[in-house]
Amino acid sequence: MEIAQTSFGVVDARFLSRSVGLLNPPLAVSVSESEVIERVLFELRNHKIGCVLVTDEQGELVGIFSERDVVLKVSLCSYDLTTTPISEVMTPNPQTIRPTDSVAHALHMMSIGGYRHLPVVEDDGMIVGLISVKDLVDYVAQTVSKDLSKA
Amino acid sequence: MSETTEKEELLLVGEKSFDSALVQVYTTPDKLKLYVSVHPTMPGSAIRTSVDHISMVIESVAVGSEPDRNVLENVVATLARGEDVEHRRVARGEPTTPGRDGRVVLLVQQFCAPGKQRQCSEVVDARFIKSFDNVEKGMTFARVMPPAPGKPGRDVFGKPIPPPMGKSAEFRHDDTIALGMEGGVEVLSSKLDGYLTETEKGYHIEHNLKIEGDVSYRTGDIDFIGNVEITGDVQRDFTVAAKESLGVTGNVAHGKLRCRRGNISVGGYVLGDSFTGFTVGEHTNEQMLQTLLVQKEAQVQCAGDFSASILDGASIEALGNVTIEKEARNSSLRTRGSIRGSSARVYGGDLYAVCGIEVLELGNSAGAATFVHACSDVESSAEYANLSDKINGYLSAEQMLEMQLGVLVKEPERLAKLSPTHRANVQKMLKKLQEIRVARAELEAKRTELLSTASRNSSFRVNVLGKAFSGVTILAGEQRFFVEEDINGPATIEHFPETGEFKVGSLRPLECGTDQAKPAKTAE
Repeated sequence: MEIAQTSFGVVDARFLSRSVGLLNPPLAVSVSESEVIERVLFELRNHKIGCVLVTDEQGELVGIFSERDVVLKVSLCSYDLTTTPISEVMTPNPQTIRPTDSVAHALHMMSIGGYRHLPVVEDDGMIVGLISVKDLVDYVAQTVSKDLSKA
Repeated sequence: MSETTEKEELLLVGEKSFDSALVQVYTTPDKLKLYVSVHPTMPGSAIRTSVDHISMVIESVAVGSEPDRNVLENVVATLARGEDVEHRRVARGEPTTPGRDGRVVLLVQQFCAPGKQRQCSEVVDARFIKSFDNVEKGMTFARVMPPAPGKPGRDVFGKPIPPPMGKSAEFRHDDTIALGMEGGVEVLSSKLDGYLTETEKGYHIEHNLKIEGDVSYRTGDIDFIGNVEITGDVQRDFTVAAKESLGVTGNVAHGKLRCRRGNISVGGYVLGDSFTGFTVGEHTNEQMLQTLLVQKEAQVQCAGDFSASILDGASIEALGNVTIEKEARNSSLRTRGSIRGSSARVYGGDLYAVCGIEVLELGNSAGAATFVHACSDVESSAEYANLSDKINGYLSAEQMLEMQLGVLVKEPERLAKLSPTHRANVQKMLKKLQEIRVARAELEAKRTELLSTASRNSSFRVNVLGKAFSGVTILAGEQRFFVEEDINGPATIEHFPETGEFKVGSLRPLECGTDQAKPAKTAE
């Protein structure tokens, strides 16, 4: 027998302190900084994702390009999508988060910083994955669902 | 043929004569540098040539090379002075960039001994310092990132040089960890609940957490999904929660203990904030009264047995038996089993038990008000316990769903304005809400029916091995027994539900009546 859970304190100190890595951040799609915009849009559509990471020749993260950049920088602008490199429209030097940083920190970064996506990166720059606002929302919802299913 | 400059070995690529001079072309063994030597056939004689000509000669020997014209200008000038050109570097290739080695990337925080963990700037409550992440059975906690290819180079002949691949990650693990694949990447997952650490065998998931010293600001609250052992105390306002079992060697002073599945044992005392009574005066308003009457959450909650040396103002809830070694004063003890303490003095407070109480002394010579409550067999049954827990769970689920759905519960016409996908999801949730309400109503009806058939144990016994003092009250339903004069033990105060009588007689062992009345935890 177990003591049943009768409260659903999802957003408490324990939840907020969990590592972002526990959300199992999906592997990110990366493109080279010299890749043309059209090709990158193709990747976004093909993978049905909202964001790609932009890397240099050494594989280091140099930027991020998301749906927001499409709306704010690409659409209604006069870029030649077949020749302009993504480096001209990406958001350079994005904020990142480590796998062992807390959910609280991720929420803080997204809320205060206004980021919808956060690359998950090790201290030496190795890209581990990408976490989005949706991943956090899904995690909260799953936690609640798990509690509900126990009931 | 190889030669060496002052710095490195050179290999002869070829040589060619022109304009009374001999051109020799060399490369380094890695073909990343191209050297040229030019010797006049007649030593000391000046040679008139041009950059284009000498470049053409070099390129005919080292096909594909692109000599640096600036360097060749200097070569031409040197030859014009009648000097030899010895091992001049005229071209350079591009070296490769080695690939990044593969390695294991941890997705969780590995265990860090309290006091040694780094201070997290994200901590919002200094009591909660994260020393580790709970890793559940089956959870992926690490990824084995593959090695990355490096950047190719180009030799002096223009040919590409493939980059060296990084090395694969090397790691070890023991049999608490399983390997798998996710998204094309090798991952490590846990075979049991615990925390991640490293031993001489490599990565390891540990099911037992031992805290050396106190649970305090040094450690923060503890919440672990295995067994917890604390060698010190649990200090004020800190909470220790364990899933399987919890042991505290020291004391628990205004701290909280939780154990969802197993037993809790405290070697020292448990000091709490329980109060036994209050006086209502003419200035006590309704709000104050409600505040005073609100049942506070128990300080200690465990699904199994509970044991401690001394309790003072503590509130204990256990599904199993409660054992006191020395003393329990002014405490609230609730159990679906029995309360025992063959050497213990129990006075003040409330004791709730199904299977009886056996202590050395009950009450004290000062006449401390001590209440013993006999609980029914239904309340001890697994069925009743499960029902109550389920009903509470359903109620909480219902409240949570109502909160999530918000206005859509009371105004279903708003559903038409949602997108089809959203509407479908909301309709599923509304259906779930309805199912939960129906299920809860059925369970409540069942519980009411059960309670209506409740009967006490065939007898309820309060055993005093030493003495029961005046001031002790034993309650069984509507019946009460006041100890008006001290009762010397060993003796049993026995209640018979059928007749409603209380009898004081010679010592009789505690019993739990029929199977139905056994402590809930054994009747799972």
